[in-house]
Amino acid sequence: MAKKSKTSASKALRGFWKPKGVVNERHAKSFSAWLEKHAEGVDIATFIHSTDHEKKHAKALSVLIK
Amino acid sequence: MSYTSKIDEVPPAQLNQVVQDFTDAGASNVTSAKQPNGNYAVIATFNGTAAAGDGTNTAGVSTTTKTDATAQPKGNVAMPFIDLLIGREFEIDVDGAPNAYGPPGVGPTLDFELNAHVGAKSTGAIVGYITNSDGSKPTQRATDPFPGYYISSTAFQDVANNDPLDPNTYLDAAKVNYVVRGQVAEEHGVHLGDFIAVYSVSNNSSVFGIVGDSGNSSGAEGSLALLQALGYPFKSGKSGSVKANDIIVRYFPKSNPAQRFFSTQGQIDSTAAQIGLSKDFSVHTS
Repeated sequence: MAKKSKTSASKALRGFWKPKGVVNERHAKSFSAWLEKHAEGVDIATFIHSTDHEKKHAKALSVLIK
Repeated sequence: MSYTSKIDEVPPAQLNQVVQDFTDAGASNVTSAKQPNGNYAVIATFNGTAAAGDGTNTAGVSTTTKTDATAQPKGNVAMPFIDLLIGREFEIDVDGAPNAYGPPGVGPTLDFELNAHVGAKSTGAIVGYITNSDGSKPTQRATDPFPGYYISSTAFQDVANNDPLDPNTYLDAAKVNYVVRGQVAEEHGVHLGDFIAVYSVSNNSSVFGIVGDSGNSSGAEGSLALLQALGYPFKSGKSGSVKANDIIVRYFPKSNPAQRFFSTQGQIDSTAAQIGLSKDFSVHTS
């Protein structure tokens, strides 16, 4: 059962996708492309918020936020 | 490919954020349900390919309903609930009213006979009133409310009444507030007969009702009495509908486990109050 992720990585990824609460389209595209390759194309919200994907958060952060 | 994503244990303070994130990620439906511990489960449905997450709803045209962010309403609410903002036009249902349909020439009816058929097509099966196995159409008896009219039915019925030809076996759409159970409600464990509260955004009014009928998977349909009680000027089911995003339905899953039947709106209102349900929607307006 997937629960709400509480990690700092989750917050950082959300901040990358929606800085100041608004979707950054350029970041969204690169995020989606990464998810397509590495997380079977799951949507961004599920990836960020679900504990099921926590193990991949660090990897996503290292690639997306440079 | 369609898929559903569910996140449990979302704290109330983060509910709006998570719901908004799923919407921004392209979910066609986002629902929230209060859990016994006070947190929420958020369920998002994605149609087609996974969303790009660029703020565009890729599901687009197939979207039938959409939820608004849900937070705990004011008042003493012990029972979990689900709020759904109906994202399409909300239709009028007159099924169950004894004067809903009738043979040609019998007198004024609340709806066109065609609307008793699936898809409102003459070739569609008749679902709005009772038919015999041989296709004949029984009519109401001299002692019934509208003698000669067809016997209109609803999915939720009085199981204590053993006479399927008695119009009182069914919910009267002209007297009782009910909604049609859609797919989203069904997926959240809502049963026929469960209590609801319904809010009109444009009229800022809310009423209690029950889940009374089926046959419309969108769930965007409610009884004539319901819409009149909310302040809409409809007189029949023959014309009119409520604009999209103007109706919020609050479902209370499993709130009528005994499947108690209600003949009057007064019975529904008093029972809803007794079990502590809330029709306070200020969380959506403040």
